[in-house]
Amino acid sequence: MGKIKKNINPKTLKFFLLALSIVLTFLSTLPYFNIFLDSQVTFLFIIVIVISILGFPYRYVYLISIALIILCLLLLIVGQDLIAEKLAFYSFIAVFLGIFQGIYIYVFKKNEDN
Amino acid sequence: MINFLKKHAEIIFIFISSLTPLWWLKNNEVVIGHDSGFRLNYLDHLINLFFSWNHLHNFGTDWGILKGFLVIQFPETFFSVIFGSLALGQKAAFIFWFFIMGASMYVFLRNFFPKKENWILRIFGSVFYIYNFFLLQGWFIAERAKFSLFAALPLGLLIIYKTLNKEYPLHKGVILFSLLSFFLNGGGSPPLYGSLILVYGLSFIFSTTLNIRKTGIRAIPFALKTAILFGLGFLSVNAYFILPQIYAAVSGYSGILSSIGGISGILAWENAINKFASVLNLIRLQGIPDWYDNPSHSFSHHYINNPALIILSFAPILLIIFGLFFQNRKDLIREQQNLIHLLFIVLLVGMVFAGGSHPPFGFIYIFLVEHVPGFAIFRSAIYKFGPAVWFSMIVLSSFYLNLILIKFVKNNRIFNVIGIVSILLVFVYHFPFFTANFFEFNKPFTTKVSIPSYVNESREYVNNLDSSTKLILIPKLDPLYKVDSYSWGFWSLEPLPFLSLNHPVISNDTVAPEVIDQIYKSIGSDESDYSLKLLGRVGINKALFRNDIIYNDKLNINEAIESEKEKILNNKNISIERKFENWEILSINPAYYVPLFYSPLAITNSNAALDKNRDISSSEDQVRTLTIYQEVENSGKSNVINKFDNDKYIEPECILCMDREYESIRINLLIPKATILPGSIFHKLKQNKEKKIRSQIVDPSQEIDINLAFSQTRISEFDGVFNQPYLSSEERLLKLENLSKEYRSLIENAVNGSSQLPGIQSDKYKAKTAAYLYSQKDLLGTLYANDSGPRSITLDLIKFIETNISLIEHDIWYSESLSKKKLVFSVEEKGEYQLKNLGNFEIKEANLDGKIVSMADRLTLDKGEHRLEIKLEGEDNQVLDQRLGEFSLNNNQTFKLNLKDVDEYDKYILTFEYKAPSDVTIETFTEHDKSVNSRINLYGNTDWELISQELKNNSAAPNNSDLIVKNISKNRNVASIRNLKLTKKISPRIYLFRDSSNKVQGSPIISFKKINPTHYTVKIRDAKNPFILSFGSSFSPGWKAYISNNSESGDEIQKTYFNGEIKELKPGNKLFDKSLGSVFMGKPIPELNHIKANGYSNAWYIDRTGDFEIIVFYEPQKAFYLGGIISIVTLILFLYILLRMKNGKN
Repeated sequence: MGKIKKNINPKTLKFFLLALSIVLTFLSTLPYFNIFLDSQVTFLFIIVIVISILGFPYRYVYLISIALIILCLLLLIVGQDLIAEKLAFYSFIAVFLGIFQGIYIYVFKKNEDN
Repeated sequence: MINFLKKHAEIIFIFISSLTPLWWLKNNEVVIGHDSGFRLNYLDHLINLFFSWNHLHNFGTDWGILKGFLVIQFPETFFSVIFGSLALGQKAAFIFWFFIMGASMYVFLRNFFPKKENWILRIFGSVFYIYNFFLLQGWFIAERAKFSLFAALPLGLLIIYKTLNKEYPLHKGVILFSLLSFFLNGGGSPPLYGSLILVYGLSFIFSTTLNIRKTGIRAIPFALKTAILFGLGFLSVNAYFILPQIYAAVSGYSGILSSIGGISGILAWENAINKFASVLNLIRLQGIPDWYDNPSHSFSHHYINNPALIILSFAPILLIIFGLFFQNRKDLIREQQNLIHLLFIVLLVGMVFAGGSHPPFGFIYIFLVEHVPGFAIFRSAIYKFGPAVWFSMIVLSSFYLNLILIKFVKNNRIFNVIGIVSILLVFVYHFPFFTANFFEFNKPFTTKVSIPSYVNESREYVNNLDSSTKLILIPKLDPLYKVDSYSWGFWSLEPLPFLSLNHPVISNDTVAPEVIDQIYKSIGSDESDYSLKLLGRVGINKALFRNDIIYNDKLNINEAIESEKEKILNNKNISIERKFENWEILSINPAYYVPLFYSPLAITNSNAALDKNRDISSSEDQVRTLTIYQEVENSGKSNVINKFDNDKYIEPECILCMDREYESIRINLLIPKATILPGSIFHKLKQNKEKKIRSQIVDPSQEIDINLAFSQTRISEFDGVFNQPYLSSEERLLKLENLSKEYRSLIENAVNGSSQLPGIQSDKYKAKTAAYLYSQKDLLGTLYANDSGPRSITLDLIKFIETNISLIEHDIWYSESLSKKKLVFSVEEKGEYQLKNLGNFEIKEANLDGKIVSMADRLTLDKGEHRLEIKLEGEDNQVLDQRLGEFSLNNNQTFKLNLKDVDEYDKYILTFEYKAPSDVTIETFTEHDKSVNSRINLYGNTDWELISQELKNNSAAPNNSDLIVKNISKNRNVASIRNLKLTKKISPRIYLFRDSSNKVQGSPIISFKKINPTHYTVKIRDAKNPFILSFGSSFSPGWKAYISNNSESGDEIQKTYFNGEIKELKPGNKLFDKSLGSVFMGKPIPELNHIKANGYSNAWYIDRTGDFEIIVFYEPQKAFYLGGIISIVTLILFLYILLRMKNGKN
């Protein structure tokens, strides 16, 4: 990491990762590429990057989760079960990334505070 | 009193919430049937569970691995005995299970959240834990095993957590955990432990990680020590069910463990079961397959369609996420925070596992099933791992509900009102607990029934009959689904009489041996003497006729049952002994009855298949007879079998006897399309794989099989290269030449190999090789017809094939026509034999090894293979219906064929020619029950192809019903059909019989006594010669015979047979007997002397004379005795330590 920090501008790295995520998400919807890139896996990849590397505050992730869950609910009521199923997965993953970030801070940072 | 109520108000509320079963079961209603495992003879059943052999099920089966049910079924038995009725006992037992689950959760929550303000969390969590759809799904059969583990989960987690955090001393933790696992053992069924293993395992890992942060690396040895001691405690206290399971797994005596099926079967099953176990459904605590698959589900449609219920279903997950959003670090003490983190981890992992093969996490489960040995036992993932999800979701949602209220509602009164409303909402949301008849799974079939009085009266009457009583159920169980079902609602794969009577009950259930099928066929036929012989020889002396049967198709006393009843009542050897309204006890003439133990006076030895028992048994008039068939269990035991100069029946094998069978073999040979062609980078891998397969060849016939399979691959590659685009003509020709060379060498090897095989094996392989050659020639023919490719090399190859076909085909020994049969048989011992024709056809001419013989001739045959050719008077195939003209069969289109003179012993063959542009699937079924008899796949073909298929016979089909043929292809595929024939084929029943002049030399005097279902003593007196002892229980290598010198006989006689030559003593009904010493100290008679007799039972060759005792013992019971001692000692020790701890001593 040290070398990366010295040689690469963190802003460039963030931009690069975000761009990569977008490209991958786009690719995951194309034929042939979607054999290797499942859209759900790609989403997972992106959210890990967004939360962990880009340091997105995890509380906001919970808000996104709530929004996704409510969207899920509405879709289920109108009978769009398949889309709702995908959104529920995204929401679930988002919640857990938030929780893991919480656990990480709790277990490690807390001791540092002490 | 008021203080007591105030102090314990929460637990009292949980108890009141547990009284719902009183609402479910009114008056004398009981839950019984399906998979519930409840019995009307509850006490006797619990006693029988102590024994590893279930003597009441047909001729007996192993059930040693079910010992864990001794504890699980104890509450209902205890309460039923106390209240004197199953109805009251069940109510009490159901309340007990309800309460034990709620109380377990309550204790768990109270330990972590003891503050007064947490009352909502405690009550909401406990109530939600007993009112949820995971449990409701189990309540329709009152799955006590599931409930016990559901109850064990919170308490077990609490003990593990407190021990690892050193709040409990290690020994206290071990003892509490062991006792918990003793009382709440999940029926000892390993697959049900999925959730517990997951939750406890994660708890160990999580707590140890935290401990490492606190105390460093020292935490690891402590965690290991704790895990080992917890494991040892569990094993010791449950040794009584674990040891028999280990014994069964090692010895393979029990079929239950091996019935799990292959990996692909498990994954296919998994896909069906977990089709709806999506993240979306699981986070809403739904996803149980029955909700979506069963259109007549009593309540699921509300939750799938009603917007209000859909919104409510999101409440738990929304509570959790909102709680997370608002939660601050200061809200919780460290211990609570740790627990919440652990529960989130359990939820995440539980979700992955409970979803099974369902995406997006399904790949993990599939990987584990495919690669982790033993993981396959956790099939039906949602049921096995679901409790982890439900438990964590319930605790987390309760916790966050409480947290949000504490944070935002400062007014106490409002706080309490919202708390009460939330708890009431749990009841309201789960309204089917109170309103739906979830016991009814397929109207009128239900698990909640009122037992008719005549059932109880019949039960009491039969249970008072003497211990030699053995009943057969009439009419037989639904022949298609093998269920026992009644007009008053009972439905189960376990027949009701089996769940009520204390005598063996014989039925045609899914595990019934062949002989039971033959008995039913004989009872229903006109051969009353034969049926009497069969019934007597298996020891059946009573029958139970049930007039209230309805088959699974819900046709009350349908045509088939009516005709069966009529036939039975016409059988002069069966008479009504006692009538109880709809149930009748019938008595069977005991002319051929043999007791459980006897020594045969005539022994017949046959290589025939068991379904020929009718021909072999009916010709023997001796009562004490025994037939030994050539079965796997008897292989290598010919020395013992031949000790007696037996009657011998040799059934010759008829070679390719079906109508145009030889021609039809090649139609079923498909040449797959080659995906990897020579020149591909993967072709080398393919060659290596072929080399590896070739290196594993062990015998010449296997080599021919491999040569033929590879020849098929070469031809398919030839086809691929022939049509491969972007290939120069030189390159194509070169590749084709190489393939042709390889192919020729493979075929030459197969042809030579077939000629070199011994006897009839050579003929079979020649026929097989010819069939391959024909199919390959067909493919090359279509290539040759293509003008564009290299035709000369194809033509050469076709000529090569034709030469080889003519080389081998001319001398294959196969039946060329329906009236001329070619048969083969082997003689083990030189001797004088006679041809016997028991079939319905007259034999015009018989030719044995090239010489014409007559039926009356005494034929001296040498040891070895012999060939027999017979000419029949007329054809043995009878055309029932035919359509000679050409017609089209579109998808979903049907036509009918008439089934005349249905006889379930004969075979039905559908033969026709077809053309179909693409694949077509055809189903045939009988009209009366719409059951599928057979499925025929027609592969896309533009030329007329012949197909001939034997149909599965549905024995319930009444005479003159119609056979419906339907095109069930989904994609509008059409088949053209011509020359269609439905024929009935009558099997030739020709035998070579050797009549022995030297019969068995007398029988000793026998008196036998049943100590318990796994233990019998047989006193032998006056044995002048070695003899065979027959024991009419199902054959199992677990049955062992021990010889002891004790020959005293002072017991009371219950019955005598054969002028006192065999005496049945009054049964002992004891768990142990002094003769057990000989079993543990002695050596059993070698397994080589243990024979499978009459196609199902045991027989031992006893090479001893004089007076002595034989102890017949079911070996797996030893594991229970040993395990039981370990469990009892451990329990006493643990209870003693606990008492000392309570008294303040360590």
